[in-house]
Amino acid sequence: MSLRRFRMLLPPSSYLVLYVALYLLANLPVILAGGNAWAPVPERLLFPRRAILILGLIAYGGYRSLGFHPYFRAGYRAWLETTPWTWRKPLPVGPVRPVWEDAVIVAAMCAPAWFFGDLPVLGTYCIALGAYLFGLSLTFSQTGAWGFQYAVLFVVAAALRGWDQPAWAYTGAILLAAVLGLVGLGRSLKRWPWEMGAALDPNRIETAFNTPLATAAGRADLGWPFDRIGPRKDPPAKWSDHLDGFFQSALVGCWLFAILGLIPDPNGRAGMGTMVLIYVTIFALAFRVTRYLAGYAPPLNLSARLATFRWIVPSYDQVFIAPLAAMFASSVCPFLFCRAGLPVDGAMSISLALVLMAVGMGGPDRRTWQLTAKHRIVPAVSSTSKAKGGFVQVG
Amino acid sequence: MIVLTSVTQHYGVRPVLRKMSVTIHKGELVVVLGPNGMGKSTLLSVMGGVLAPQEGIVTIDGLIRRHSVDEELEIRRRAIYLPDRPWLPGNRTGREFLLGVGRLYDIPDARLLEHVPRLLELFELGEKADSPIRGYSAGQQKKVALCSALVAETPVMILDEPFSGGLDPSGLLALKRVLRHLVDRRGVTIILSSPVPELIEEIADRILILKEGEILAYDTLDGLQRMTGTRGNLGKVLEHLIFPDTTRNLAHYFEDYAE
Repeated sequence: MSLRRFRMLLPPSSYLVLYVALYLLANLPVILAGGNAWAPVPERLLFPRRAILILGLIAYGGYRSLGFHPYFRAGYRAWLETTPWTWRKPLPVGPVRPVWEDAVIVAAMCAPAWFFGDLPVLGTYCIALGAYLFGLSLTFSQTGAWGFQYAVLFVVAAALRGWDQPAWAYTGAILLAAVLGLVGLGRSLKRWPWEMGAALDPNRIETAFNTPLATAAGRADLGWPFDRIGPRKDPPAKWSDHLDGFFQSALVGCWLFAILGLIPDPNGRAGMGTMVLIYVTIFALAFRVTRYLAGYAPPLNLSARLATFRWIVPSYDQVFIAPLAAMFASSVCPFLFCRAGLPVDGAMSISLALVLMAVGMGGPDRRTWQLTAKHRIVPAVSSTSKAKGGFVQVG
Repeated sequence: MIVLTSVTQHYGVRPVLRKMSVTIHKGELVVVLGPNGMGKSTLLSVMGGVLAPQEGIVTIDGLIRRHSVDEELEIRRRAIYLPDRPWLPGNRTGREFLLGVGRLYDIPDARLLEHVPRLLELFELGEKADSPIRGYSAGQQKKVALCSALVAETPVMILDEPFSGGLDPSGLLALKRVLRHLVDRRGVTIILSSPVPELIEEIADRILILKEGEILAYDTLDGLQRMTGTRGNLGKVLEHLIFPDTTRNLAHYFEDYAE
């Protein structure tokens, strides 16, 4: 009976074999250097097998949430909707909540590491549980447990930041995150069946598949001018979208702070923090500008602005305020925070959160601006799309 | 009804439309005529919502263009704008494209499945209906673009040069008849532009003639004939109104030639 449970919980055998092979391979440097795996060896030679073990624990934790939760498996979810399943009954393909067999599986994975003293016992369980909670938290926003994802992820980040602290600190944080995660899971399972968007609804896709209308394109696929001035179906932003933007930005900053904490060298932290801040700012700005401005050109060219003394067209130019604020947050805020006495990793993390808040939440609202501002709406067909025959111009 | 009130539009320094005010009544087919570069497409773009005028307002059925989100969304449901050279999804078939446009305008599926084949047949696209659009000839692409404007069944249609772009005689005939039918039987308001007066003479309720961004004349054919003192067709009327230079130039050219 129990063996059947283990078989149910374990990942496919090919993955298990791959993990064991990689773990053995990661021991090669130790064996080559010291003659056997038990001999004292330099720290750097232990890194590969530690890394493989940590990745294995993360993979197993992630697998337990991503592989067993109906949210992530459209076919499973569609089938489950046709059954009389309720939250009081066990899930047919296996439990999504952690069970005692998980502890045994993690112990089996970590036994050599515990024996050699590579990782602390509590630490290994915390890594697996943290990865499980990370995956689980991705389900909450769409399954009726909004808010739990942020609570869980903030606490998991706190645990990560406390990795170099005594074991009780990060273990306590992970246990708190686990309690929050399990309460959230209970709440989302009670809300079954979930009302999820059409894009994730397999029933709609499957029933529409064989009709001629199934392949009818969406607004963006209809070309110019329907993609830009056809009727819009996107809903207006809700207050919860702004709240999501705030929490998601804060969460990214918080995770950067947690990850930078794993780098022991202060200069390394500063370098890594700066690099992340610069790259994320560039990508976030590019994303925002493309999302707002693709197909929406200025109402006047430069010479007309200069000649008519309308150097700023408020209705159009307001779209640049948020990107400018993001650039300010990225370039000036780290210095200001450091001067105010914050540690460099804290300064970088808060600045990153501010950049993302400016990019994600800064006005004007995209839908309102695109529908009402004084811009010229122009075809926005990429040269790649033209070259591939994705869009053809009449005439 | 479409009302433009004191609309001025320019992108560079030179105004393309100057303080233009015009009213197009419900159930009327108005044709915009004028020499190249005089603002025909700009006028239709302003009405179609592609351009926001620097000054003045555009209202469609009492709703002000780009005034508020709700008004703009309602206008978009009521009015379709088709530029002279739209971009079509090359990898989609003509049928898929038309179904997609119909769905965008909330036409019921049953109506679409009945209407689209009839439209394709009318424009002689039946055989190509299930082939990717990128394989269509220029004229066939123009036809499928026109079908997309028709399949949306909006009460207001703004069409920039619908008769150009390689339409064959049967396509021209079909389009003229369909547009006239929509106006006469369904009360659709249509405004279109054309550089060729002969094509639109028989379908236009009123003709709006533009020159250098201003309205030179806006009347029925009879009214224009009275205005110019001509009894000929629209071509003759236009000769007097907007092409006097061309007539003079021609006379001059032939004089030179004769010498």
